[in-house]
Amino acid sequence: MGGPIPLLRLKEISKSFPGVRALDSVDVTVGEGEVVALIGENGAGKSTLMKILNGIYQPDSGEIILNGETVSFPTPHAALERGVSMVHQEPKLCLPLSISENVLIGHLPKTRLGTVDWGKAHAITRELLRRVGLRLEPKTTAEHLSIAERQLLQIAKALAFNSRLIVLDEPTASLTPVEVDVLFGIVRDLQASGVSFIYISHHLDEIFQIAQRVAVLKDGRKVAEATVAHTNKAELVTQMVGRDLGNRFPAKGRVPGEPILEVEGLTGRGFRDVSFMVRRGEVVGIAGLVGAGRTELARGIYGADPVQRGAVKVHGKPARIRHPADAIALGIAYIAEDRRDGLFMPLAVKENITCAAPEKFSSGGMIRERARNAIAKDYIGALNIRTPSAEQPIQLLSGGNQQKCILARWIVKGVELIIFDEPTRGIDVGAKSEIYRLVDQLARDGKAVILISSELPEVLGMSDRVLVMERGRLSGEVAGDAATEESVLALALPSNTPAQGAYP
Amino acid sequence: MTQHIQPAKSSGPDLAPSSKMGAQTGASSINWTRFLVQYSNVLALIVILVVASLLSPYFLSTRNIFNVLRGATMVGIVAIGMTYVILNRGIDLSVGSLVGLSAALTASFADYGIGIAASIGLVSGLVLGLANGLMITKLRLQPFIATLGMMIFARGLVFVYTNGSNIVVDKPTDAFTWLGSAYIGPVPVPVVVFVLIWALCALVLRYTVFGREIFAVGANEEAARLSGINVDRNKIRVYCISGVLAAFAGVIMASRLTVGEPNGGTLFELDAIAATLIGGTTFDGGVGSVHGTVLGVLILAFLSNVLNLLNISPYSQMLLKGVIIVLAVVVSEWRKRK
Repeated sequence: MGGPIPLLRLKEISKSFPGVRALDSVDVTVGEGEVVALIGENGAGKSTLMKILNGIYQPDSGEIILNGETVSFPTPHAALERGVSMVHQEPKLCLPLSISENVLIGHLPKTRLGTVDWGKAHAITRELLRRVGLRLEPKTTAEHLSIAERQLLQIAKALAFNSRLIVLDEPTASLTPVEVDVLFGIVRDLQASGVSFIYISHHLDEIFQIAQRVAVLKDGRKVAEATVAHTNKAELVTQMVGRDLGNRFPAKGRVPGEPILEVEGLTGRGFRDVSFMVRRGEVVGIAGLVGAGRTELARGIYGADPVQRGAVKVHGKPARIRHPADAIALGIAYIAEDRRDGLFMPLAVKENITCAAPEKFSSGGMIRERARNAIAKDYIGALNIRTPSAEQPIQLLSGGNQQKCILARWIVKGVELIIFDEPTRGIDVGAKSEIYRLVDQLARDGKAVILISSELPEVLGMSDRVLVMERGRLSGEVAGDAATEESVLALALPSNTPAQGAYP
Repeated sequence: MTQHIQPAKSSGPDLAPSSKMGAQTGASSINWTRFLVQYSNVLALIVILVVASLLSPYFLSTRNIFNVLRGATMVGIVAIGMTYVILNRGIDLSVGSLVGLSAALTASFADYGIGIAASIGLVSGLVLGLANGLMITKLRLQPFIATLGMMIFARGLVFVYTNGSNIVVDKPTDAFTWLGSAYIGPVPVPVVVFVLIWALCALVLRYTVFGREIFAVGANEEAARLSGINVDRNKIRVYCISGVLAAFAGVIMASRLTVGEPNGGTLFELDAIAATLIGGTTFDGGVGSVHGTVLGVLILAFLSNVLNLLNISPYSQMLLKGVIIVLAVVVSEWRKRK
């Protein structure tokens, strides 16, 4: 594929940081009009490689060869000028500015007087928006765009720079299935006109839909490369992890006990008339499309956002939860969808683990440091959190280990029910199975877990029962062993939407 | 049968620190750049002290040193409160005015004895600090805006109360002037008081739940809320403490000068912010310490002392101070990246 001279060759790229060889002679080529998937666990070196390609880092050795010519990208702008651009997972836009300015920023067309030629700017932008399938008015601000629209806008921006290679970094992480289809359609169109893509994703299924070739990184080395026709998911997972994961999910067979949480007719912003019950020893999944109201429901139960009506009972007693602290006092915890909403980045791992349960290591407001250190250390061990010490700022840990710290926080607190929103988003395969094992263990210890996830295999694999939400309502419940992707999807999709917009 | 997720006492094979994080750069040699960046403010203070003692024989005299320290205590106390606020990801622009208000009140009630006079001053700081906290939490105002309003309002109060002229304490008693002017051995009382406040505030920050919550709220307010921390209460307390410490500085000012000046404490807020930043506390919240701030206070105080001894005009001194503040923040950004 890709003709005699590839569009891009990253040749024997190596890069070290103090104490770690992030990339070791990695070689990746991308042909013209080709989509190459780059996969690997977190820390495998994908982002380092992409940062080198985008001029954020400089390689220690190796070359970037573009169209047969060796180039160097001292800054992201230099990369952009040479037609290499990057679309981030959650694009950063200048929200209060107009869409035209966001797309053309850096090279707005000028009139002879040196002022911005708005007529021309909007016309150019309109044409670019058309190419990426966005029906938006260039004059309006970028404020109300969905994440999907922002990503497409970034692609438009890349096209404005005549980009010939676009890096898509986890583009589908927050997209609905329909939006994913739209994105893939655009990618295919652009591909036909000669634009190449490097596609980074944890969703292996997507790779088979969109990419022609796939390169696997592990511990800074390229361990495999294949055309998608000549590989399969299981093989890729083995190559990424370096071992066969076998069954990803722990066996079920948990025994439910008495109810912990009963929700009756709960209504708030984004969800209506939701009733359900969670018992001890259960993992209850909540499935649904993005925007179906799952997170809103969770935050409503937790007191993080106000509810309008409905009743909540905890351990059979009516409960008034108006603030997260009320929920926590009743033994309910919520782990936010966006991990950054749960982390105190500059603070030590031990602060992050112990911050919700000061009563365990303080008296009269005074902290007993030794007791606190002991707790932190114990749970770092029990949850297998990989950190050089309890004093390490949590921002230096990998996503999986950060997530385990947040989980540890609530286990330390001793809560009975954990509402776990997107527990494994952006986490590598190895850490995922550890999280699954911990969730299973919690249920077996007589606690309960509500698991909200957009990854259908995860909901099905983990849950004893699956609640399905559709446009703010509970559209049904499926028993865990009877649940299939089809049965859940049938409930999750709005009745007037054709089922082709299926989960990735 | 089921193994609970609880720390087993013999927790299996010990976790080897991940090789990625444990390793060091050059095996045995110290990384000098890193060392310089890490301890830049300590080094800066040492350099100032050494240079000063070489340039001026008078500099190292006990008398000069304690004079400088005494001069630094008022801004120093305000800066410690400011550190709490900035760690909490806020800002308190009103402290200078609160110093002035407290000093004016304390001076005007001097006849009732220092106890009552000082209490009235401190209560004024507490009440207006509380008002800051309530505006920020209940009215959801940005700290900058709320405390800017308070800065102007409180300064207005001082002018209205003093009618724009000095309130002079007639025949100040020894008890009244003790706090600002007396000595314990060779050490001025305000210096002793400053050290006590420093120690107390550092201990609170390090060893109380309240202190750790200041960091948590500053580092990530939403995460703090979702962790069950009472964010509003935490912030209100922080602004109250800032207000009371500012008022305390005002009490010392009244005791020292035996005058309540309508302009007392003007620009203290900026000196306090500068000292806090030089001390490595960042506007991003959750990073910094009271010790750093004290270092910042000392650097600014000794620097201007040296420049005075060298007969450099106050105007030129400002040029240098401005550069140093910006430089300090640049260095603390480097430190973050290391």
